Amino acid sequence: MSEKSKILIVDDETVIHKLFQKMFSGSEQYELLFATNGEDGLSQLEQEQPAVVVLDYRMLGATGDEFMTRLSDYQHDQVKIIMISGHAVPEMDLSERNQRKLFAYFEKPFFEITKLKQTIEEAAGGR
Amino acid sequence: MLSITQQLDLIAENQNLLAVDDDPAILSYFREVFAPFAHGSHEQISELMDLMGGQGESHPGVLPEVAQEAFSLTTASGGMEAVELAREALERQQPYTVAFVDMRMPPGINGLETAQRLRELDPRIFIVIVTAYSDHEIEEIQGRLKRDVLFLNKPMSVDEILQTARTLNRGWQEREKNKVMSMQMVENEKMVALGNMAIRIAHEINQPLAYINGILQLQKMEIDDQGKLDLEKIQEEIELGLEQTVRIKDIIDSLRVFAHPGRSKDRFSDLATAVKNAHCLCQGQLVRQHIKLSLSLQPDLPPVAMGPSQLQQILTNLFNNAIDALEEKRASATQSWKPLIAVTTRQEGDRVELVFEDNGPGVPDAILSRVFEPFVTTKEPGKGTGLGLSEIHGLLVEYGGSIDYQPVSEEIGARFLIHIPIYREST
Repeated sequence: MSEKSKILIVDDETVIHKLFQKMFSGSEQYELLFATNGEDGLSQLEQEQPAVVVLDYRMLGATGDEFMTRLSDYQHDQVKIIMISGHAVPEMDLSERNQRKLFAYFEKPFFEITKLKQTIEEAAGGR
Repeated sequence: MLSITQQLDLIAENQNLLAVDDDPAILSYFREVFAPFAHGSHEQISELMDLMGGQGESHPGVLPEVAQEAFSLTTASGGMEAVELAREALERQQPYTVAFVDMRMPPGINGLETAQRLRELDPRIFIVIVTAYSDHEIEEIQGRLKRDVLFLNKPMSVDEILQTARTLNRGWQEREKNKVMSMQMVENEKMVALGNMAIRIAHEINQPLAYINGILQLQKMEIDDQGKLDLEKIQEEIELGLEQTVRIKDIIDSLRVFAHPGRSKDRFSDLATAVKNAHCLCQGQLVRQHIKLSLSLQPDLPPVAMGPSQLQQILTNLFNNAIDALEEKRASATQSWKPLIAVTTRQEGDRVELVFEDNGPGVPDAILSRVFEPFVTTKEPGKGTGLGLSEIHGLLVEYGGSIDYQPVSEEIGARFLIHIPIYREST
C-alpha cells in the first residue's frame, strides 16, 4: 500500500474547507490538509509535501499569485496547483509564468463539482 | 434627462436676457441696445454706437467680440409679468441669465420684490438693479439677494448695459458649464466606485453560495449512489447551509439602503445598526486581511438626525478608507504590527460622537489641510476615487454634523472624530 496523496486546501473560508472534506469523505487514498492563509499554506507545503494545492486566488497575506511565485522559491515546481476564485469577473492577475504553471482553474460556486473532484484526483495522480 | 453634450450646448447658446421696467421708453431703449445682436448686424451696432456719442470708438475691443454674440432680450412692464416670463423660459429650458430690474414700478411689486421672486424661481440668475433713486440702501438689497447682484444708475449708457450683460452672461455660462462638468466627474467616479463595490459583493456572496451549491450536489450524489445515508451528518450540513443563506441575506440587507439614496423619507436612524451593516459589508475583507475590529458602542444611543442610507454611506466609506490604508501600511510594517480598526460611539449632550480609528499610515502632512476636499487622495490612480472623505464631510454638514481629523500618536494612524445631532421629534 503506497502512502496517501496529500491535498492541501488553502482558502480563508472555512465553509469551503468543509465542502472539500465532504467531497473526499469516501476517498481513502487522499489526505486533506487545510490552511486559511498564504503563510500557513506555504509552511504546510514545506512540511507536508502535498501532491496538489487547491488555492483560493484572493487571500491576503499572500494572494494566489504571490503564493505561486514564492512556491517556486521553495523549489516545489512539481506540485500541482488548482486555483479557485469567487470573482465574478475574470480577474486572474496571474503572471504569465504562473499561468503556465496552473493545472486548472475553477470559479466559485462550483457548478460542476464532479469535474472539480476529478481534476483534483487527476492532479494527485490517483486515477 | 439631457445628455452632457446637450446640457453644455444649451448653456453655451444661452444668451437670454430679461428687462423689467414700468417705463415704456426705458424698455424700448433696452430693445434698441440689444436689437443689433438679434440680427447679427455689425453696421447697426456701430451706427448705434455713433448715435450714442461714439462710445464704440473709445472701446475698440468691443466690436469684434460683439459679432459672435446673439443676445435675445425679453421685456416686461411689471414684476409679476417678469416672474411669469421667467417661469415659462425656465420650462422651455431657456432660462434668463441676467435680469435688469427697475427699482420703482408702481402699482405692482417693486424691483427688490421682483428680484427676490426671480431668484427664488431660478437661483442661477444674475440681477442688475436699475435705479434712479436710492429707495433702498444698497446694503439692504445686497443683504436680501445675497449674491450675484449689480447696480446701474439711470441714465445708463449703451456701453454700460452691453458690458454688464456681456460680463454677467459669460459668468453665468462659465459657472453653469463648470457645474455640469464637475457633476459629470462625480458621476464617473461614482460609477467606478459602484463597479468596484459590485465586484466585492459578488465575491462575498459567491463564498456561501459555493458551499450551499456544492453541498447539495454532493448530497444528491450520495442519495443516487447508496441507500444508506448519514442523517446526522446531513443535518449538520443543512444547518451550515442555512447559516450561509442568512449570510447572503445579511449582505443583501446591508445593500438595500443604497437603493434609493436621498429618497429615503426616514429622517433618523440608529448608529449601531449602521455600524453593524457596514461591518457586514466588509467582514470578508477584514477577515482576509486579518484586521482586528474593536467595537465599543454605547448601548441605547438615541437615534441620530440623519437617514439610514446617508449614515450607512458614511460608515461604509470610513471602513473602506481604513481597510485601504491598512493594506497600504502592510507592505512597510514590522512583524509585530497588527492591523486594527476601532469604532467608538457615545452620547455627548445633544449629539452623538463617533470615533473611527485605524493604525494605518495616517494622513500625510502634505494633504492634511485638504483631506476633506474632493479628489484628494493618497491612493494609487484607479484605486481610490478620492471622494470618500469629501462625501462624508458633505453629508455630515448637510445634516448639521461635523467631521474632524485629529493629530495622532504612534499607535494610532488616523482618527476621525464625527458628531451627528440627535434626532428630535420637532426638528
